[in-house]
Amino acid sequence: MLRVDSYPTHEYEGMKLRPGHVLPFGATIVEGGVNFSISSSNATSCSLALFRRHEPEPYVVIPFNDGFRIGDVFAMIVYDLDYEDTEYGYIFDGPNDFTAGHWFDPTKILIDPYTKIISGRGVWGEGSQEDGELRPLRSRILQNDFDWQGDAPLETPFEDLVIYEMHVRGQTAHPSSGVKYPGTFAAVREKIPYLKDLGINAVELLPIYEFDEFENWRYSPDGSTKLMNYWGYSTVGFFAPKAGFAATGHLGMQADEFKTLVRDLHGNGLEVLLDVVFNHTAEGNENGPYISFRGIDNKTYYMLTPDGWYYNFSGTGNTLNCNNPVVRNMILDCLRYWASEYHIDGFRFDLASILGRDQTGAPMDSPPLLENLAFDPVLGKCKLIAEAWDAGGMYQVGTFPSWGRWCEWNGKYRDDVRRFLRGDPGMTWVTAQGMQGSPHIYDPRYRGNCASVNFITAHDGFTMMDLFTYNEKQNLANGEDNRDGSNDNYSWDCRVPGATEEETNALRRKMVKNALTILLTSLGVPMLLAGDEFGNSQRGNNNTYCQDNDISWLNWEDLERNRDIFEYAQKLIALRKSRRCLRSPSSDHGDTKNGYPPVSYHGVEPWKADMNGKMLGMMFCGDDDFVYVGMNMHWEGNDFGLPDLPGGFYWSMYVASDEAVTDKGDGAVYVTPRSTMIMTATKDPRP
Amino acid sequence: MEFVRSAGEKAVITLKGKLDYATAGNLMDELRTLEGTGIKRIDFECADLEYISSAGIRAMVYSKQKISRNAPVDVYVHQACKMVQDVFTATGLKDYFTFVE
Amino acid sequence: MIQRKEFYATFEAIAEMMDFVDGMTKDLPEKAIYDLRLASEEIVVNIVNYAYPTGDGRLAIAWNHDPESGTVIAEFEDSGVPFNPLGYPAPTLGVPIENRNIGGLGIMMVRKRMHDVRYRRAAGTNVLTIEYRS
Repeated sequence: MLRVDSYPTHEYEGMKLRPGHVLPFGATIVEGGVNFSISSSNATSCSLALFRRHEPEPYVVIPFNDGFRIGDVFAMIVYDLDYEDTEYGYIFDGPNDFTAGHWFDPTKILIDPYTKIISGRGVWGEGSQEDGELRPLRSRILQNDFDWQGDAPLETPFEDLVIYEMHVRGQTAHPSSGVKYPGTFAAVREKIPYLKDLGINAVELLPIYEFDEFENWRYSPDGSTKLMNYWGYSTVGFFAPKAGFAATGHLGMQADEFKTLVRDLHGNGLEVLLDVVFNHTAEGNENGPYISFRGIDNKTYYMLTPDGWYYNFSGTGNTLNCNNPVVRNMILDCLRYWASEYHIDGFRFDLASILGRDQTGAPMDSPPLLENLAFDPVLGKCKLIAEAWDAGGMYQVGTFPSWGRWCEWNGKYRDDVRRFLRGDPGMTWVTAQGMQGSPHIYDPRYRGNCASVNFITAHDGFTMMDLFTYNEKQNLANGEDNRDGSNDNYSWDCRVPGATEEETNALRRKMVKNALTILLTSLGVPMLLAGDEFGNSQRGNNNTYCQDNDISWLNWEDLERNRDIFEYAQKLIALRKSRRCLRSPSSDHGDTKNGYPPVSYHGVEPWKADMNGKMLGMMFCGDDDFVYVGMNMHWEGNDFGLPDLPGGFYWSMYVASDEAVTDKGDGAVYVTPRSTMIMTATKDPRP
Repeated sequence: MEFVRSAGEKAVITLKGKLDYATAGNLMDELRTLEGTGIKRIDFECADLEYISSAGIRAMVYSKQKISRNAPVDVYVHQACKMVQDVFTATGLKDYFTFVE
Repeated sequence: MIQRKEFYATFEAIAEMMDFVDGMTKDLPEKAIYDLRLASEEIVVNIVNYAYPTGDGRLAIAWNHDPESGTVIAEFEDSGVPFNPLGYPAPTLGVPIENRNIGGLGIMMVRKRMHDVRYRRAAGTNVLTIEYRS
């Protein structure tokens, strides 16, 4: 049916136009043309610049005349556009007054905040200043016409997840990965069988929103390596997938390639969580570039001091003004878009405490943005995970506003378990708490049983093998004289007096297994850092944000070298999946039908835990389900007495991190120094 | 550690660096040689003594306690830095010796 | 800076222990370096002398320095005979007078110099914790 409003009413330099639809924002393909819509509360005028692909100058700049603006929104339909060959940008004019917070500059061509794909970085690491001229970042028009083949978000119960934190590029960029298109979404897709084999059921991707890997690039101190923005915590476009992560990015096919990855991950039972960075943008501080927000409506998008300077709660130069209603709506639109158009299953919010600050930076009691996200219908089944702190000093682990929806990266679990593992005495009680979902931090009455995302390692920090190889960070390659990165690692180089190099290395591998034992038997949701399952090392670098090389990239040769670690991890994940008592405590239902508490603490003697010590036994009980985890972090071996079981049940050893751990058969297990073991019990099948 | 004995009645011992668990034994050995010699005075030159622990103090206390058993001996501590003096003060043994600036 | 290291609890290993302590304190004020060295020496010498009467054992030091608050918390741990140096005078029987701990001199100095000293017996180990604010 022909619409009566689908014909042009205006013409400008040969371009056929019509006043547009204000919603949705962004560039949307409509009958006969493309609808462009963008808002600015403080601009006096706006123009649309249209480019043919890769051309440096626009072929036309169309002003939004009167009648093309409703409220603060500029909207226009441009007819007969070859949208596949078109790039666009906006030019805004208005006051340029630093103290008032206005940065309008009509010489700048700006990216649309709602752009769905961005050109200029189509191939990772290509198109830098060095290769000639730095390619400009430009908005492009996306046709949303992907064939999902019946796919939908998986809605796996949160407590059943085993999350695998992954950098899209780092996963396969190393030559040892053996994939066709290293470092891309397509390559991750090739690794799906591996991920399934490991047993994890969710991947959490480091930022995949478009960012500029050349931001602040420089050479390493020895001049051998180009240091780039590798991690990508510096968003250029919130709605656009990173083109350089797509094998087809140079063709502008990144959205399809990423959707294909999501669809196939889903098809194999794996959820997709995104690490999203709404605390700041790539525009930096007062000396940063004009990319988008600064030139469109600086005062709306950024938190500014009364004198017009940027607040820096993110530690990166600026702070997105998350609780401004315009910005809040943009974030909501963005997440709805990813949840609906990309079938994303959940989000991890980088420095999420910033999302709870008001426009002056003060922490709020009930931050509207966080509440919006908690109750938004489109996001209703999405996992919402907060990194519950920021660089401005807010630390909200345990107190992040949750409305029963938000859960948190549990930084306390990480630190406590690390200290327990390396043998610091007195960490038993906190470790026991951590292994039952940290009820001492997250009151189960308000936060449920899985407010805690448990992790021992993450992209930010040592890998698991490095945690047990280095006492101190080794970040000289980052070119900041080893000042960057955390000093509080609770790491340990595993050097014990009298040990040979071989014995030390064996201990390190065992410590990795011990860490995996605790992580994968803790209640809450475990998150494994990619590569830890085969002992990946970053040579002691604990802040690899700029290392796009084999420091960061997973070395798949380690998978063969450390096959025993991989198989150990596999076994633990399988146990977790098969034993409900390790995922969902029935604490709210009281004791199990056999009269056992769902979680209990033990020491070398059953039912007697020494909370000052370095030895801990944890028993998890379901109705017909018993798992006992024995952990000896002392430098001396010890017998662990096992709790008695109801009639007909018998303990048997499921796995141990050390072959010398011995089931003595009389209800006691000898646990060698610094070892862990897991006993399970089932009903004896014999009469 | 330098050890100078003069005229049978007086000994000067120069302490340098750290007088701790590792070096106190050497001092003790030196002092043992003075037992029963009729010595009347020991001077510890401490201008270059950076550090003293209880092991060091014990050796010095020994010099007075044991050597004094037959005939009293006066022990002088010269030019000890404040941090070293503080250790003596804190242990209540400062009056046991004569401190000379 | 939070580090842990383990040693043989022998006289020969004390130098290594003190090197570790010096490494941990090197950026602190002079007085703090002195006080922490002194306390550490007294504690490790005590452990080496008394913790393992029947043979070799181990000693672990966990050093925790928070540069923002200027607080150092260090833990000294052994798995020897249960002994609380804060609870009773150091054993002196059978020790020659020159080795005798004069009135518990060492532990007294630890207590005077540190802002807090705590002992706990933890599942087979003695743990002495010192806390110092510079």
